[in-house]
This record gives sequence, C-alpha cells and structure tokens, in this order.
Amino acid sequence: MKQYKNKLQGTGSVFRFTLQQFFKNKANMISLLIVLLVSTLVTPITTLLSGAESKEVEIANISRVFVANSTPYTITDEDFTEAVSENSYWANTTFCELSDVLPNPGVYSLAEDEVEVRFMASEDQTGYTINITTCDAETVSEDSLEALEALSTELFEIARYKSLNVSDEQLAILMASWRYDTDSIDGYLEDDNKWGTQYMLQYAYSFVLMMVCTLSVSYIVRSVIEEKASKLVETLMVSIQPLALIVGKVLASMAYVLIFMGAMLGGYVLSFYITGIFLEVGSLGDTLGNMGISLDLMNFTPISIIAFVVSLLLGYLTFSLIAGLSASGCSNMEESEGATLGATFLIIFGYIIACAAGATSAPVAVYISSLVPFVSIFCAPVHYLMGNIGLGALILAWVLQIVVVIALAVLCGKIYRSLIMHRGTRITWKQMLVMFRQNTTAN
Amino acid sequence: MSLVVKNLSKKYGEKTVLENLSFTMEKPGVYALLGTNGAGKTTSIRMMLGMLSKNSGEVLWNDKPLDTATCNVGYLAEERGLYPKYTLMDQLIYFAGLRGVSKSEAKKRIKYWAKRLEVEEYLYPNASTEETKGKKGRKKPEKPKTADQLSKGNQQKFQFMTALISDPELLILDEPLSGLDPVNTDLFKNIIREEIAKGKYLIMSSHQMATVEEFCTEITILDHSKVVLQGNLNEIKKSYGRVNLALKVEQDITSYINAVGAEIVTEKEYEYQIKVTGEEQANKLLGSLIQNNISIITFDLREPSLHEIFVEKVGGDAHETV
Repeated sequence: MKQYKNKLQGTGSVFRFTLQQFFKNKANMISLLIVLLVSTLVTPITTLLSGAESKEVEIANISRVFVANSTPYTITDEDFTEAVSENSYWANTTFCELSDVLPNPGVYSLAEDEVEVRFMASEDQTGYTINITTCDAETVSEDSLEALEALSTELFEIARYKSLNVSDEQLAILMASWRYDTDSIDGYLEDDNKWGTQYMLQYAYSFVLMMVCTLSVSYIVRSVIEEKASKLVETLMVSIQPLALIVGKVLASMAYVLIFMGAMLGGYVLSFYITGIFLEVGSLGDTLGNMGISLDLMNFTPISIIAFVVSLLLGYLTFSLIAGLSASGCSNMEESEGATLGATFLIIFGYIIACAAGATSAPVAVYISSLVPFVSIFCAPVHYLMGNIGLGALILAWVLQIVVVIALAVLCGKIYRSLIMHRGTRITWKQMLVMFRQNTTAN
Repeated sequence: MSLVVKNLSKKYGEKTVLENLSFTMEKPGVYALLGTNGAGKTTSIRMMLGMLSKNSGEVLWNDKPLDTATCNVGYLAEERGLYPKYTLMDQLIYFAGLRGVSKSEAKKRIKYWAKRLEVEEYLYPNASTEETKGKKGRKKPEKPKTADQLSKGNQQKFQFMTALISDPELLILDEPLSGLDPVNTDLFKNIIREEIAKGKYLIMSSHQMATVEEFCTEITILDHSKVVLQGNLNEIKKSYGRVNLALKVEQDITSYINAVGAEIVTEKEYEYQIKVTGEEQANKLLGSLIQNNISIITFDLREPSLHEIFVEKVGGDAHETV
C-alpha cells in the first residue's frame, strides 16, 4: 500500500496542471463554448421549428360566475372560490351565489363575460344536471367553459361524497385520477413497453459513456504524446513516478470531460427552463414517453444511480488507461491517430455489443453482457435498473471490471516508464507484454 | 553525504550498453562522466536516477539507495524539452511543485533565477518600463511567453532553471553547455561555480574537455560501454608526466628538436607545440638551444590536456569530441 502511495505521489500536481492547461487551451475553450451555445439553443430552436407558439398566461375570460344550486347537496360560491384559490387561471373570475345577486327569482340577463352554473335535478328526476349558461354573444371561450364544466363536475362529485360523510383520506382515494389502456394478450405478454424502455435506456447510457470515453481518449492521447514529443519525459521522471503521471492525466481528462458534459447538460436544462417560460415545451416525461421510455418502469433508487456512476467511472478508467498506454508507445503526434484508433475501437466494440444486448431480455444474453468486461461497463447498470439482474450480479460485474483496471494499472506501473522513454516506431501491445515480462524479471 | 555507484550494468538483450560502472563521491564537488557518443554516459545517469532498470549494481546516496522522491535531485537532461504551448511561468511552478516547492516559494525562486539567467523579460513582460500602449493610450499588457517563442539558448536557460528551482543537493547536468553562445556559456559556468561553492554534489557529462578540466576533480572516461580511465584528474595527468612543451623562439629550431628525438605537433612562425617523452628530453632540448645562443621567448613544459588523454584512451572514436 505504502509502495503504491509513493508511486502516486505528485498525482495532484499533475492533475491540477493538466486541467489548468486544458482550460487555457484556446481550442478546448472554443469547443466548450460551442457545445454550451448549441445545448442552450437546441431547445428554443427545436421548439420553434416544431411550431410551438408563444406561451401566453392563460386566464379564463369569465368575469363572474353565478352559482345556483337546487340539489340536496351543499355547493356554494365559497366552494368554488376555495377550489380555485391557487389556480391563476381563475384569477380574473369571481364566484357568487345567484340568490345574493338576484334575491327574487325572475328573468335576468347575463353580461357578455358572465356565466351561470346551475346544479339541479334532471328532468326525469333520476339524476342531476349541471347547466352552464352564457349570453348569446359567445364571448366566453370554449376553453373557459370546458374548464368551468370540469371544475363544477369535480365540486359536485365532492359534494355528493361529502354528503355520505366520507373522510378526507377516503375522498382523496375517490378523487384520484386513473386511466385505462387497451392491449392485446400477445402485446401484454411481450411487455413491449419494457422492451422499448430498456432499449432506449441502453442506447442512451451507452451513447453517453461512449462520448465521455471517446472524448477522454483523444485528450489523454494528445496529452501523453505532447509530453513525449516535447522531450520532457526525463525532466519529469526525476520528480514523479510514471504511475502518478498517467493517473494525474487520466483524472484531469475525466474532470475536463465531466465539466464539458456538465456544461452541456446544464446549458440544456437552463435553456429548457427559460424556454418553458416563453414557449410551449413538452415535459421531460412527455419527451421520454414519445421516445418509448417509461420512467415508471425504471427502478430509480440511490443504488441504481450509484450503479450508473460507478460503471461510468470504471469504464472511463479502463479506456483511459488503455489510451495512456497506447499513446506512450508513440514518439510523435503523427502516430497519435493509431493510438487513438486502438482505444476507440474497443469503445465502439463495447458500444455496439451493448446496443445489441439492449434489445434482448434473454437471461443468458443478459448475464453475458453484464459480466464480460468492456461490454459489462455498458450493460450491467442498465440491466440492474431494469430488474434483469440483481445487486449480486452487478457487484460481480464491478469486481471483474476492477480486476481489469488493476491489471492495466499494474501494466502501466511496470512499463509506462520504459514506454515514455522509448524513441522510435510505435510499440505494439505484443511488445508491451514482452516489455512487462522483462521489467518484471529485472530488478 | 556521499554518492556511491557500484557495479552498474545494463544490457539490452545481448547488447551491453554499460559494464560495471563504479565511482564514489565522498565530498561535494564535480564528477565528470566522459565518453564518445553512445559510450553509456546518459544511460549511466538514467540508471542512477532510476529512469532505466539496471541489470546489476546499485546507487547509494548517504548509504541508502538513491530515491529521487527523498533525495533532492536537480537534473538537466541531455534531451532538452519544455511544453511548447504553455506559459513558462506555469511550467516552472509546475516543475517546482513536483519537487515539493510551494507556489509562493517557487515564485520567489523563479524571480531570483530569472534575474540570474537574464530571462526576466520572458517571464515578466509587463514589468518593463517601456510598456507598449494601445491606440487609445491605454497600457496594452503583453501576453506571457510560451516556450516555442524562445530561442534555443533561452529555452536552455529555462531548462537549467527547472533543474535548479528545488535548490538540489545533487545536481546532474548532462551536456550543460552544448549549443550555448560564449556569453551564455560564461553565464552557465558562473552558476555552476556558485553551486560548487555552495557545497553541492555535481555530476557532469560533457564533450567539452576544457569545461570539464575547469570544474571537475574526478573523472570517468567511458568507451563502448566500458570504463577505460577513472580517477582524480590531477593524478591522472601527473601519471602521464609533463610531456607537452610550448616553445617560442626567433628562428627555425626544427633541427634541434629532431636531434633530441622530440616530436613537433604544430609549428607556426617559430612557435612550436612539441611532444616530449619527459622532463629529461625537454631539458636536453633547452640546453641545446642555450648552447647555440638561440633566444627563447617561451619555454612551457606541461602535463597532457584532458583532451589529449581522452583522445588517447578512446582512439579514433573521439572524432566528435570538441
């Protein structure tokens, strides 16, 4: 342990310096600003392109509602006022008892923006009618009348339940919303909704992981080769152990990419929120629903969030160490393409397999894709979230991934110094293993 | 404090690149590692610093294996480098930080060494009184310099600064003066002298024999990965005897030189560089000249130079030596 502590001494300095230089790099800052700009503009632009109109604050165009009740149930203007007290839609509307305004029954006329709601027994005396009356001018909008109808119906329902002395809890149960869905028996058995959710979740998570890893790989490769090409390695090796050098770079790159992704997400969320003030934007649930993803089917718990974060970090570490090793075998920037390609190939391989695995719920495929390193990074947390594997299988997947990361770290520790001191043609993975054997036997 | 290098050897496959290098520095001073290109100097240094694995041998600093994490080592590598696009100040603070120097202390030291190495203008471009002004008369601050904006000589100064920034107790300089103009060579030499005076341990590898002679007390000459000569420089020279005779006269004395059996190395306007077998042959030549009333302006009998010793030891391989 102490040996590894010594080997990692100076990691913090490398991390700070590398991250600082990432942010001082003009190209990086321009990329960050472009991403921030795009993520900020994407919501208003797509919303406008989809034909959304400016969001006006909707208010019922009814100035006064006269309430008349001839049923045995108690419904007053105060019930209406209380029910809409926190609803800005009715901000310009007052509710009053018809009897207060017109103590003596008789013919009266309504103003253009006035409405009468009358609760009464039906003509055949078997039920009740809610009669909503306006003047002939049709000034009151259809939306306002529909809203008033819904409000009146709800209050009438409540009044009827209350007449039976139901408690507040019982009332809440009775008034809870419900929906119905129709499906064929085959469709029910295939669980289409779950399949779609799993596929889309697998696709989305794999895409994020692939983006994070691919971006990081290119930064790490560039950073390592830049150092080698600058002939700085010997100067650095006097002050720091090779493992600390690569770990510092890997962590700095991860921090930069996470800040990058965070800025992108932050820009999107902020833009979504601000756009929502002025334009009609769908809710996140609606958006996901349109994509076939049901949030109800996902087992979102703190553990499942940890599962995603841990898998993301392990995946990042695996591919970053591979990228660091590949890059250290290069001698100049011209060879960076080859180094990036190797690591990117592995990422794409895992991504494609994960996308394919996301389309199946067959137990064998689920367990293979959840446990085989490189693929499990993409698949295990999704399968866990969807309930296809348990926590034990997820932990086993992590253990296997950690073994791979440790193996790569040990390989780095043994050969990274030799690799970065190397000058000449790019070192292959086969040569790296030979180097590892030699360095293990040498003192 | 002492530095002990014992039986250091390195092989790449079947090829030996260093064979049993051993030396000791019991007290502060300068130790020189000399040799032709590819003789094993840089390999030795890299192994001493733990950059290369060794097949055998050990390096002890105060009787413990030399560990760059615990021993304050300054190293000017033969392969010079700086991050080309990063500011020089950032790099110097970074290198100082890696050697455990705090940021505030590093800034003080950078200021000192910048002045000492005459590179302040690159680190503090706006400190000058002649600040450039923008169109509206406002001061337009200059951007800090990056390494790729500097000449090679100035880059070398900054690399030297990275070696010195931690105030090392052991300073290893691999070809410190190569590529420098005479003015900067003197600047570097003065700093090296100061470090010696401060009681530092210095290991220097160089092709410039005059420089080595100027600073070093102990030397090792490597040839084809083997030690061919080692020891105290004065004693080595003494062992060769005083065989270099510089003679300036007012007429041609070739016949007298040939008569005593000495060898003329160079001759220019009656100024001779002569190789003698020893003091006896030199005195014989002097007696002969006096006897024949030849007026002598200079008669200087000296030990062989390090250059000559080096050439003799490594033979034809020394053609690249300065």
